[in-house]
Order: sequence, then structure tokens, then C-alpha cells
Amino acid sequence: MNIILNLIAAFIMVLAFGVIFQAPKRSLWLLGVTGSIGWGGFLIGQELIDNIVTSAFIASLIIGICSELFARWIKLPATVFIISGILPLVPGIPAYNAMFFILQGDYLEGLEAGIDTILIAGAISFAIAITGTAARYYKKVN
Amino acid sequence: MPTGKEILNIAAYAGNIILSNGAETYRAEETITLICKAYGMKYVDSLVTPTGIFISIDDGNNTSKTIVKRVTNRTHNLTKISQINNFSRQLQAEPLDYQTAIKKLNQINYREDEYSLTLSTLLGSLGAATFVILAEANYINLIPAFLVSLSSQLTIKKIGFLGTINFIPELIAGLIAGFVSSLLYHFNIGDTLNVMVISGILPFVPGVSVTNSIRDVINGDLISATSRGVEAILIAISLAIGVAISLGGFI
Repeated sequence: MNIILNLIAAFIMVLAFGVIFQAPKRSLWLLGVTGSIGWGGFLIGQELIDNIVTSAFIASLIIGICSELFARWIKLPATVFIISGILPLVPGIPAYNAMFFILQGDYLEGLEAGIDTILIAGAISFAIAITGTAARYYKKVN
Repeated sequence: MPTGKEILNIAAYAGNIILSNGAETYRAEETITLICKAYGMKYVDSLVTPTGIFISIDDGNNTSKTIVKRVTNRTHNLTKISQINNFSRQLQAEPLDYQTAIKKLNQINYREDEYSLTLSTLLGSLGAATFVILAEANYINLIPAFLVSLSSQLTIKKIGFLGTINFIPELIAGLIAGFVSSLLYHFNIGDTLNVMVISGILPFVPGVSVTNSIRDVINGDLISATSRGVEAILIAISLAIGVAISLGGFI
């Protein structure tokens, strides 16, 4: 039940951010599907490995692959799906904690949270970059 | 058939639209090359950075032309990106003459937004509020998170001339998000302060810039990568400072 609610929340969130970024109307529901699949990957990663950086990396890989497939399917650039698809994974809580601890004077804990933030953000971007480059390479080979 | 100068104008205009609406550097360069090649140019070289476009073409008869285009505003509009993408593919099938091409680009650039301001603000706030579920916080935070996100987005949309200054909108968004959520927290509406604040600033988080910057590094566009990366870091810092200023009064 909780998982289903999570997937629905990811669907709504990615669709809503698609609207904020003015995505084409016919792509909206696929945006939501991308979000749900990516968040499902994140939850599975959390269950199996229990490391937030690795889970974010796996989820972003899945989102990248989905985006490239959907982009070819409905003839839109893959960025449309990627830009809103990765939003549920954005490391908001570690970033907030970093700011909060530094504000309270706990510089060491703030630094810890800050490094967590950078690691998660880096994992997401590298996964997206890897799938994007792979898709371009695949296009060139064929 | 357009002259060299006119081809450059078309390519630079298309590149400007796609770049200022949030496309990656390689996509802008690819679009420019596609357009110039579609008009039969033998050699095309383009250098795209987040703040400017440089194109040089040569038709093979010893006449080369160059254009420099300054790109100032940077927003996100995925519909415009996909339309420019279609436009460049269409040109390959049949090259349009200058007037029609510019008219088409004008249509894309000045088209009305796909979704109205009210719809995108309301739906965006709803989307940001679902972060409460994803972060596994108590569900009573849903409505306060919605309110926080709504207030920060509305403020930014109605901010007037301040919205055109770099990094000021993000600072104000952080300020409003922090202020409204601590106010709600103070009156016991919602019990997790951090999730409420994050919902408020989520629409302004520079996730796109970070991803694009790392993609640029991998593609070898080092100038774009560093400038986008610095932009993303500065946006994140201004959000954090905004939140810190308003929370500082409550802690």
C-alpha cells in the first residue's frame, strides 16, 4: 500500500514539474510513468543495497534509459523526460541538513551532510550522462 | 536559396532559442550544424557557451562568414526545445526560404505558454507537496507543504523587476519558503520543518544545470561545463542563504 502511494506520488510530482517546465502536452503522462519507474528503481535499490548514493545511481540509470526509449517512441528530445524525471531523486534533505547544521554551528556535521549532497547529485548526473552518451554512440554506430 | 548571411541568421536564431530554453550545449551545436548543412554549406564550425553562440560557415568557394550571438536569458521551456528540434529535421527534408524560416522561428519563440500561470503554479505546488510522501514524513504535512510551495512560487511570479536580476529570485524563494514554513510550524500546522522548507524550494533547485554541466564535461565542452556548474552552485547557495536568513530568526 505504502509503495503504491509512493509510486503515485512520484507520478504526480514528475508530471507537475513537467507542467512547470512547459513540456509538450502529449508527453505529460509518459513523464509521470518515467517518474514512477525511476522511483520504483530507487525503492528497490534501497531494499537491496541500503546505500542512498548507489540507489540514486541505479534509479538515474533507469530514468536515463526510459527517457531515451520514450524519446524515440513519441519523437521528442530525451531532455524533456530527463529534466523532470530526476526531480524526485534530488538530494533535498541532505542539502537542507548541511545548511541547518552550519547555521547552528555544527560545522563538522554540516560538512558531512554537504558531502552526502554532492555525492548524490554527482551520482545522478553521471548516470544521466552515461546513458545519454551511450545513446548517441549507439546512434552513430548504427 | 538564402545567402550565407541569411543562413547564419537562421542558425543563430534557432541556436539562441534552444539554448536559452534549457537545452544542452551539444544539442545546440548539433542543431546549428544540421541547419547549415541543410542549406548546403560544406564546412560548419560552431562554438556554443551558455552566454554566447559563435558560428562560422564556408561554402567551399573561399568565402567564409561568421556570426556572434549573445545569449542573455536562460529559462526552461521544453516545448520550444522540441519544436526547434522538429524544425531542424524539417529543414533537412526541404530547405525553406529566408522569410518563411524566420517567420517559423518567430512563431516558436513568441508562442504562448503551453499551460497558464494559474495551472502551472497550482499543479507545481501539488507536485512539490508530494515530496512529503516520498520523504516518508507524516502525511499531515501535505497541506502545509502545498501552502509553502504555493506562496514561494506566487511571490517569484509576481516579483516584478527583481525577477530579472540573477540569483535574487532564488534568494527570495528561499526566504519566503523558510519564513512561511517556520510560521506554520510555530502554530503547529505540520510537524516536520525540513520537509516543508524543501517542498517550498524544490521548484527552484538547480538539478537541470548540474546534470547538464556534468554532461558537458563528458562531451568535452569544458567552458560550458564550468560556467553552468558555477551557476548551479551559486543558485544552490542563494537558496540556502535565503532559507538561513529566515530560519535564523526562529531557531
